[in-house]
Amino acid sequence: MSLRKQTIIAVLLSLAIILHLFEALIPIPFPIPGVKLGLANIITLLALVLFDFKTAFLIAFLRTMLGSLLSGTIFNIAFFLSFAGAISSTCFMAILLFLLPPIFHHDDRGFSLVGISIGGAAAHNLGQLAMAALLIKHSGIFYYLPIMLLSSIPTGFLTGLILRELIKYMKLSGQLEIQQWNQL
Amino acid sequence: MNKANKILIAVVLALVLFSYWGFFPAYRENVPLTAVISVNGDIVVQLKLDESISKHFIKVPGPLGTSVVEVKPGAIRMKSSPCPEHYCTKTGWIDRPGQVVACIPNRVIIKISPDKESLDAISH
Repeated sequence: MSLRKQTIIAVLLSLAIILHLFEALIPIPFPIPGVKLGLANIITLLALVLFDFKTAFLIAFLRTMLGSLLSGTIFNIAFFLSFAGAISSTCFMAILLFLLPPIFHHDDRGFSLVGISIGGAAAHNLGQLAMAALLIKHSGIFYYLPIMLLSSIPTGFLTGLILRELIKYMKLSGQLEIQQWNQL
Repeated sequence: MNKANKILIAVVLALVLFSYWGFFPAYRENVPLTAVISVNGDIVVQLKLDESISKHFIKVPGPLGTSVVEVKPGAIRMKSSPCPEHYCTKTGWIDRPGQVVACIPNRVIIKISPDKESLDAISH
């Protein structure tokens, strides 16, 4: 791993931690606990686009560990929920980004960033609820499932749009040649 | 929006509908409650609080005298009691599994037994 790649990973990781902490400060005008924007998911997907699954997984893993260490929620229920959510959404977004597009044969037929983001948000909520059911050992937790899944469409759409504009800006300003980044 | 994205969003929406209608009939049907009245720990009356019962009174004899329990579909309460403090009548109607009306002086306990496991609240 080159020094340049290490530096970029460190910058992405600190951005992800800041978004993770910042998100907890935003009140959601919605009477359901657990529904949130998933801003840190932007960085996970950006790392998937720029690098590979391993790097994105590393960033998602370290982001939940360090983010909850800084917010003081480490190793309580909220930590395990966000940990399970981050892992499952990273894996599912990697599947959507790398494994599925060849099935559709043409390059432009694959999933867009917004689509992958929605899929990641849905996988995040599913993983989170599976972990919650495991911890609380009560099937009543699955009453949340329809609401959480439905909320993943607008939240995933929003974070996907933000990422699309971010990548567009990085390309315009000459900071991003994706091929070149992949070789780091 | 291309075909792949439409399929993805359709799958998520289908999961929402499936989880709402398929998995959880509890959203739609009311589980009938069972009320248990006991005196001195012995069960004297056990009845289902569903739509088939009409509003009526049950007289329950205890050590101090007769307690009167009122029953209606979905709820139960202590109507009157010979006890001095009347905490039991002040409890009012109970209508959820796990709730209890207790009259300690007259040894009468009304309890809605949990037919199904249920949660009071979920906190994050």
